[in-house]
Amino acid sequence: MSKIKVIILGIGAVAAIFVIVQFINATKYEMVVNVVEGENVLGLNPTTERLDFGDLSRNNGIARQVSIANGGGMDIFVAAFKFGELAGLVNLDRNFFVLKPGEESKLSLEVFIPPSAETRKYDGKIWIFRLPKPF
Amino acid sequence: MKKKILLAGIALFAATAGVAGFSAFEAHVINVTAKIENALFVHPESIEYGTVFPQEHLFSSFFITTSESFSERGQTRVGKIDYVIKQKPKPREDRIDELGGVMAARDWCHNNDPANAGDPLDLYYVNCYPNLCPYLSKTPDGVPATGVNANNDVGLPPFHDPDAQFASGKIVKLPSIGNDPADQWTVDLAVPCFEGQCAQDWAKFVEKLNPLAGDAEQYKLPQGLEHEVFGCDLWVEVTRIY
Repeated sequence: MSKIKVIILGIGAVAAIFVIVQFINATKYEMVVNVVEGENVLGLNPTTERLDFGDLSRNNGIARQVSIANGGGMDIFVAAFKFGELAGLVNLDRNFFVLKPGEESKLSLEVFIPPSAETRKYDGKIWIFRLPKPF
Repeated sequence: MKKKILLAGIALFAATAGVAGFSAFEAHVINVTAKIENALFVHPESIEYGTVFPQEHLFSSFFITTSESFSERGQTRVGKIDYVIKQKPKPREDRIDELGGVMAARDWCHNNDPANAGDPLDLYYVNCYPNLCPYLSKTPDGVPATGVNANNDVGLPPFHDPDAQFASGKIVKLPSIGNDPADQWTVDLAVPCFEGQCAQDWAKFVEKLNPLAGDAEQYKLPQGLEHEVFGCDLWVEVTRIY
């Protein structure tokens, strides 16, 4: 095997490890909202085990927040990705931003239940990646 | 063959060790924490009052309770929720994208004021509705009327400072005896009048609804805003769970 191949393989292995580590270290939250019958019905669940948006009737909205703090000495690039059927109903107030050392920021996730929503539970997930940004 | 298996084993071990080591190193060096806040903001459905007349009274309501998941029998870790009902100036729907999204638009309307409050063409009114918040009262249901949780919600009459005064409530799931699992809030619009067009009993109207309102003159609206659509966003903010 030539030296170039070894170097390429080495770089590839390091890159793969970096990507795997980012997936492992990403903060992963479950999201859930329960659409209920009625008008102006707000069923709250402010517990912090998951992003539970509670029970909402149609045309209502709810926002929950995730606080992100950078306690290290390096700039961090924050990126959030939503999955699942609830992802389309969740709106992030900001995404793809840099967090400086010592800085704390809140990511707001707002769900709005459209008039066409069915009365049932909607699930989803959000993964928040924190990537080191040395330069 | 043995050599290949050995090499593959070494490579696998190195990769696993690399991932674990790098993961631990990154978690130590980067030290970024993320946590879900227990405060949440609920935005009840838009309450539309339509065309209204000065000193008219109009009512609407919304219902707050605990969710199915919070009410599950097995969920006994927390049983009480404290919340406040806040009022915020309402951004115009067609300006939300321009202002950087819903949250940014609300902040803009909250942090800015019209240069000329009586000019409907003022930049503030291009982005935000004239403010209806001081004229909205919030009245609790008064349930339960007896017991340890009696009258644990505090209403707010109209003609108030929406930045400083809030209604507040409490939902009690546990202990289940004498609990208060839901609150029904009535939102009452006390329609203001326009300068130069107010009835002679305007001050009495204000004082009757809110004896602590102060000078009734401050609640008269500039004439230039007549025929404009007014708005206010109501937010339920959870302040404590325990």
